[in-house]
Amino acid sequence: MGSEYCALNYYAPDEDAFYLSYLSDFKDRQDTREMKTCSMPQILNDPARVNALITGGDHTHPHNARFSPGDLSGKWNPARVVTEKTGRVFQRELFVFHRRGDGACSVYGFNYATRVISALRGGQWVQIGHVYDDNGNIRMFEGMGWQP
Amino acid sequence: MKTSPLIALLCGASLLSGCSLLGYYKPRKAERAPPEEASKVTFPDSMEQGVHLDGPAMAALEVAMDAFLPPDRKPDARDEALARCLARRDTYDASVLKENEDLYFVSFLPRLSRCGIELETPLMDVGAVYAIDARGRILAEL
Repeated sequence: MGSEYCALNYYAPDEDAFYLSYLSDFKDRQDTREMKTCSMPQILNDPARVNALITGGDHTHPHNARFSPGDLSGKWNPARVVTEKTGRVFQRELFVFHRRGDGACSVYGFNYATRVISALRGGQWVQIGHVYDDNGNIRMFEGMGWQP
Repeated sequence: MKTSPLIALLCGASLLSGCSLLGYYKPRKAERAPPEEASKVTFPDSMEQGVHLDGPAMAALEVAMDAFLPPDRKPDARDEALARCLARRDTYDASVLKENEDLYFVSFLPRLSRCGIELETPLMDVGAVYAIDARGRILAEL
């Protein structure tokens, strides 16, 4: 049940503003009933913001709230990107969104530069763990977990 | 019926090729090296340095791999090289974790670099983690 979607988030230096691309259901592996995937778009098509900087990506999980090891073992080079106009540095991040059956939503972020996972709790980002190898294995911080 | 011979032919062809259209597989027999290659193999005196899986762990791994990449899975990707890579079992690194006597976790992670492929942006969730019980049932996947 459900589909998985991928999207890019990007920064427009001329406006000092952040944008989210359209959602894509493009995938390189067939879905099954239990397992869904999506492939992050490779190209941004926003003719009004040709100097936009891709700061990361977003994807949805129809079945699970947490990141999968596959999500966390992937690389997205470069992990840090710089705006030529202002010299502002961004660390690329991946976000995962999940909506439970009762309507509650959860969001987690993974920073490709620091390899730290954060959870959005009460409007604040809380660091909950660190991915310590390229197999997507996580060491949770003291007292932290996927649930608040 | 004019179409009967055609249907019979298609059914026959699908059986011969091991096609699962009718829910039937013919397991592929392992390829055998010729005797001259076999004669060059020297077997080790000890397997201690090898990867050891106990029987239930091996059975769990087999169940998980058959679910993850069934023999009849059709390659489907943006280009032929990526499709071939994702359809190969040796693209995926496997880990097996025995949680207790009745619960194993089996993880598969794709290593596209093994196929010489480096994508600009990542693929989401193309690996999998299965929870498998001692009866070989899939309890859940991540």
